Amino acid sequence: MSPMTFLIVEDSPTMRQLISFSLRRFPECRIIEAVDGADALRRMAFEEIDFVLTDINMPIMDGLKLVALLRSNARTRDLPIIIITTEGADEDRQRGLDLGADAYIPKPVEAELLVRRVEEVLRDRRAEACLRP
Amino acid sequence: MRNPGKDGQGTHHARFEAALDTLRYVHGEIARENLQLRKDPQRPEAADVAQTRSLEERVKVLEMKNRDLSLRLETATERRPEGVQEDLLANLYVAGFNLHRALEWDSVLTSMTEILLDLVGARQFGIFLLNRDGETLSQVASERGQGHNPRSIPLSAGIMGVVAKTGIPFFDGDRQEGDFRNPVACVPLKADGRLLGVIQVHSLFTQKKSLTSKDHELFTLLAETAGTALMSALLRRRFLSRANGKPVAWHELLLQVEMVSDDAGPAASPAGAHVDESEGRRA
Repeated sequence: MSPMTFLIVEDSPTMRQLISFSLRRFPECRIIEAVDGADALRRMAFEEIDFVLTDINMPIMDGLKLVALLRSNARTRDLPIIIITTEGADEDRQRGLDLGADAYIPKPVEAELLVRRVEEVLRDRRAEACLRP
Repeated sequence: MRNPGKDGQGTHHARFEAALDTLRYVHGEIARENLQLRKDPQRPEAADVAQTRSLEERVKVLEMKNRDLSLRLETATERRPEGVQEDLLANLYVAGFNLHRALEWDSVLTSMTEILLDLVGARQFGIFLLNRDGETLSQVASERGQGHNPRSIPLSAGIMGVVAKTGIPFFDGDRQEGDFRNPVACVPLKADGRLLGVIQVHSLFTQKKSLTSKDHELFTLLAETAGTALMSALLRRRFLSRANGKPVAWHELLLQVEMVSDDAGPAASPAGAHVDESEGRRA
C-alpha cells in the first residue's frame, strides 16, 4: 500500500490524538488535523488528501455540511470519508451516509475497529476502481 | 551452564503466579468474611442500631474491595488479544499525554471530561472535589449532570461517600444505566496519595454495553494522574493570583522553580540545567 495522507476533522484534541495514534499503523502515512469543517476545507486547499475521517458535531462547520461540500466538489467527490458518531445521533449518521459518507464509527473509538473500517473502505474503493470500464 | 534468560523468565513467571495466588487468597478471605457478616444470625438481635450501621458500612466496604479485587484478578489473568492490548495502550497513551500537558485548571477538567466521554464512553458523569471542611464534596464539572446532582454532598452519603472515605474504586461492570445514587462507576481522585475528590459515572453511551477491564485501567490512570494534574493547576493558579492580577512572565515562574530547587539543595536541581539570566529562561 502506498503512503496515504489522512485528514482528521475533530474538535476534541483527545479524539484527534487517539485517531491519529491508531492510523499510525498504516506505514509512512501522513496525518493532518483540523478542528472543524471550515478548518478542514482550508487545509484541503493546500494539501493533497487521500482519506477523511470526520466527527459530526463541531462548531463553525459540522461534519454533515463538510461531507455535503466534499461530495459536491469535482476535486473531492470521490474521496473516501468515514464519519465518527456519538449516541443519539442515529439520524445524523443516516444523513451522513445518505450524503455519501462511506462508513461510520461509533464513539468511543476503538483503534482496532477504526483501522479495520479504513481498510474495508479502501478495499471497496479499489474493487470499485477495478470494475470501472 | 545455567541459562540466565530462561531462569529470568522462570523467576518472573513464578513471581507472577505467587502474586496471583496472594490475590486469589485475599479475594477468597474477603468473600468468606463478607458471607459471614451477611449470614450472622445474632446480628439483628444482639447489635444495637449503631453497631448494625457500622456492620452494614463494613459489608459495603468489603463488597467494594471484593469487586475491585475480582476485577484486578480478571485483569491480571486475562490474556488479551494483540489488537485489544494495542487499543488499551493507545487509550492510556492519549489519556496520560493529555493530562500531563494540561497546566490550567480548566484545561485539566476539559481533558478529564474528554477522556471520560471519548475514551471510556461515559454519557453522564460528574467530577467532585473535596471542600475545605474535609467533610463535603462539590461538583466542579459534569456532563449531562447540570442541575441533577446536589451541589454539596456529605462524605457519609452513599457509594460516593464510601469511595471518598476508603479510597477504593467502585465499578458495576454489568450495568449501562444508573443514577446519582446508583452509579455505574465511582473512582477516587488522589494527589500524593491523599484524596482530592471523586469521579462518578452515572450512565454509559448506548453502544457501550458495560465497563471492561480496559476502562478499569483508564480509571486507575485517571485516579492517580488527574488528581496530580488538578493539584498542579491549583498551585499554579494560587501562585498567579498572588501576582494580584498582574501578568506573570513564564521566566518568572521558572525562577520560582529555581528558588525552590535551591532551597531543597543541589540534589533537587536537574543535572546540567541552569537559568540563562540574560534571557530569563532555562537553557
